[in-house]
Amino acid sequence: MILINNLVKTYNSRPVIDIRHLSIESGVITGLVGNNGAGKTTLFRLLLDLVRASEGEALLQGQDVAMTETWKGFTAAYLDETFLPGYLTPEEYFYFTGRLNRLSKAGVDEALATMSAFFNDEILDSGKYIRDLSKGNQAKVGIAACLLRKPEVLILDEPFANLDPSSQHILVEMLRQLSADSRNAILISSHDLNHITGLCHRILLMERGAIIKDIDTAADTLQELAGYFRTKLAASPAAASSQPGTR
Amino acid sequence: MLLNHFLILYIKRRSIFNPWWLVAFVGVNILLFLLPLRTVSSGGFFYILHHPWLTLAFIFPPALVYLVNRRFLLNNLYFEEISGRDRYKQIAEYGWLRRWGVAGELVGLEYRLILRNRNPRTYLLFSLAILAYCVAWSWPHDGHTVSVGMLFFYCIVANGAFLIRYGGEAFAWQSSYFDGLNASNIQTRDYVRSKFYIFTIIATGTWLISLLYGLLDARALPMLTAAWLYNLGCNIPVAAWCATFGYKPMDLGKGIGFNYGGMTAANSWYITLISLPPYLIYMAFAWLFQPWAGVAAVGITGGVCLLFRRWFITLVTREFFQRKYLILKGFREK
Repeated sequence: MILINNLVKTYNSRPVIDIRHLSIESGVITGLVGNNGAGKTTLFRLLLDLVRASEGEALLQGQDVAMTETWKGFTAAYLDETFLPGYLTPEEYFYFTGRLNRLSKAGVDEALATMSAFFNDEILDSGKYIRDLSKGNQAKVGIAACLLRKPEVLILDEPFANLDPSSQHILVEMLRQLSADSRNAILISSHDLNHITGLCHRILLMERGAIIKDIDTAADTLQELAGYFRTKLAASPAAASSQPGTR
Repeated sequence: MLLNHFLILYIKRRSIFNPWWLVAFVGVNILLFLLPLRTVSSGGFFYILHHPWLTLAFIFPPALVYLVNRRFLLNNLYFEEISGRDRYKQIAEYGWLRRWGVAGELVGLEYRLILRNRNPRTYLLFSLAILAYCVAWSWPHDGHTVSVGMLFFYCIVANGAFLIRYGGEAFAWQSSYFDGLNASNIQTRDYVRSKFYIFTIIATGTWLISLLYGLLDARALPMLTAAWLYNLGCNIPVAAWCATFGYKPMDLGKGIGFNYGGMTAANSWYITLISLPPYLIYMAFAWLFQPWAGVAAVGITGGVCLLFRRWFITLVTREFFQRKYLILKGFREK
């Protein structure tokens, strides 16, 4: 599970993350939504110890990420293409990731075989380096490398971005299956409210570094979120100045 | 002058996509250095003095090279046609590295980084070129052999060229995916250990190649071995430690042929730290006793430090943890 206690990150005395307490249990897919600059990626970087917290702690399965490295053994994450060594072929990267996690070549091949629909014949045996793939295919490589490990903690930052509609649908199914098969904690962020509300059991709404709403997904959650963002847009100065007759 | 100008431009453009052009250029230079050009050029000069119309012939070489340059540019206006991106990329696996566990996997990763990216690959070829230059400069001329001190200097430079340029940016080479490395199931100590291993492999490979020097001058053999031991025992830990102060990302696709390559003050003190101490040790013992005592002192220093390799790995790991967030932040900046 993921546990956050009094986690604060400030840049130039301005807090960009300020979460007093957050607990994400295993067996739950949690979605994180918020406008650009809300702090979603920064929160993920704090959970992966890629950024130093100004205060507080983040614990993965009880391990403080800033104090130990044992959490790396059961955590998989993909934030963006800066996670991928572009000069490897996808196969080399999958086997490399597999061996880091004590998976045999056969085990990796078996896991990749279950993702053939997701890859759509464009990833394996492409004869290309990862850097020569399209953005969407690079994202598929990063996500697949996480999924083949069947991690206890999975963190994905906007996994649906750059994916075609078919691949988005397949990814939703794969994440559902991963959550159903094993007791892991999945945390994903997305701007796609349809996918988030269709996939996640719980949704966290983030604004200016803080969790302002914590929703257990229900039938009307999509409407609730859509209404919130419409209200935000209507209240913004940019929206006011774009109204006719205001210039 | 015009011939040199257009020729250098052509070689530079060619070497961007195929660094072997650079190696061939250096090789030809070495050959010209070794050949008796003075005799040829003075004979030719006096012949032209008696046949002045032959000076017109000097127009043709620069014109020819200009036309070759022009044709090359016109035929290669589309980058993807010459970049080799469409070539099928084979999977490369290095099973023999797995005996070192995770560190071995990371060595394989970095080995592919060096071979598959223009910037580090050019450094590797450049260091081979420097090796060849050292051979040329220490070649006996007119019956005179170079002094022990000078030969030892060439041996230090020949052995340490790659480490000098590559080692100080040990972590920056992987800056484009450093976040991913740090979030992966890789313990930092294994990561640092892999750096020591890859530098050891390259330093040893350079040493083995440089032993051919011994065919020209047998004195070079113990000197090269002393320099190699010093690299393994002292320079590799120093390079890895200095790399923890490097926060600037590295562009793997940028070539270094004929470019200054962004030398900064930090790079300068690192190069000083790598190349000066062995020579200071040599000079101290050479002055106190005799030159070969200096060579032995350098080798023994390296050998003794090699016994403390585990301690150095622990030290560098600790230094890395202290500056980890600065390194991560610096590598994220474009």
